[in-house]
Amino acid sequence: MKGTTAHQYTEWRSMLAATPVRNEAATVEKDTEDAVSVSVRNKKPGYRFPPISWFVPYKPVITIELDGLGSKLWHLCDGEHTVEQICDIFSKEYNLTFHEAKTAVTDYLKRLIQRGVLAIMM
Amino acid sequence: MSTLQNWIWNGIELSLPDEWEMLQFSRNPETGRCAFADRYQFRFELDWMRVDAPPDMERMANDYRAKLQNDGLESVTKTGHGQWLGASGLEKGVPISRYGAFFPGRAYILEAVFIWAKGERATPAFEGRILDSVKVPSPAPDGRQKWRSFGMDWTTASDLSFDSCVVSPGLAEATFNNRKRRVTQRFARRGMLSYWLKADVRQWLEAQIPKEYKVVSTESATEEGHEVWRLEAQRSPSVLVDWLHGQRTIRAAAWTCPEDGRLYFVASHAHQGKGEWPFATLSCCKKLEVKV
Repeated sequence: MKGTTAHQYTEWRSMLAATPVRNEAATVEKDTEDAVSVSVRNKKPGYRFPPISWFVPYKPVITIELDGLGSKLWHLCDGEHTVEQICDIFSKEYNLTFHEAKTAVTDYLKRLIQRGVLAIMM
Repeated sequence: MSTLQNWIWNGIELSLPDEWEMLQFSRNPETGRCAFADRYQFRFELDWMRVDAPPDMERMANDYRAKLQNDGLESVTKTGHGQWLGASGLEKGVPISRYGAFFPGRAYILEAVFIWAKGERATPAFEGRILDSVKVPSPAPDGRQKWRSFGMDWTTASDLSFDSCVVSPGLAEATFNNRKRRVTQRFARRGMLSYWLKADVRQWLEAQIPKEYKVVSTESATEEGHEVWRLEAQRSPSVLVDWLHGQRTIRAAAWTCPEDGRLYFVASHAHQGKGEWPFATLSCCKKLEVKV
């Protein structure tokens, strides 16, 4: 027999109850059912000065192209749906188990939040 | 309570509520763990360890209870169900029940851990129902290993070891090898077909064959309402090891199951000509079992 393991206490209830919202400062360039293109302003990092900026140019605006899954997610991030509800919709639509949908949705949300396209309301 | 779903992992059979999913697993048959969760938290953990001789379970359970108390388990009470001996209590406010038992069929000590949600109370009747479902049969006399998880039922030869298992959204794939890697078997289930499958099943199946192999036959048949594509491919040109051990061959099959809309794939890689072809089967539902 083994001892206590920390993961036994892992629970993600609060994460599932959070509500993703779109960044109000983001500009939607293209918006169809299966393709969305979003532009967000890019903060200039402090280290982007010559000579580094000669090799790694700074882009004041970055544009993110979302595929079919990302576009669906973008449309569901309306401030009304919780992460759990979005997972349920993905699970039903793509015939996935809840945790398969949760992994796909949270990975995608994480990437979009890191790029400044979405934010999370707890 | 919801209906129970049957799992077979590493020769251990058990039934768990069908909304519990396996999120962690070990491939090591000597010692390891599987952990299952509902949508909010981990709910159940099964640990196994192979031992050389039957242990004194009563003494082991007493020592374990004392250890849990020292480790900070509060309100420790002695519990048990049939051959299972254990303890329950509160760990950081979470009700937890731990049970241990010895199964001589494979010389395993198993530990079953039930993790309840904060505010819930452990239900011995429910725990007993799960514990009653745990079975560890002796290895099959025909030398076949049966596995049931991730929506698949598969059978492989007992001399193959579990080499890898990839699980990601819409994909589960298990690979088994023998010691010298002369036999490899793959079992896979893929979902979200509308998102990524841009060819038909036959084309997809042919694309799974490595470049150094030449497809020698492809055929399809409708079996129990499933259109199953099968192919055989041989390494071409042959290499020295093929002359020694027989032509390196792949036999594979793929189909979509109308019940769940997922794509299933089974493949056996081996040298043909010496000895029996290695046995592998995959089932997507109760209706169909495909052998390659």
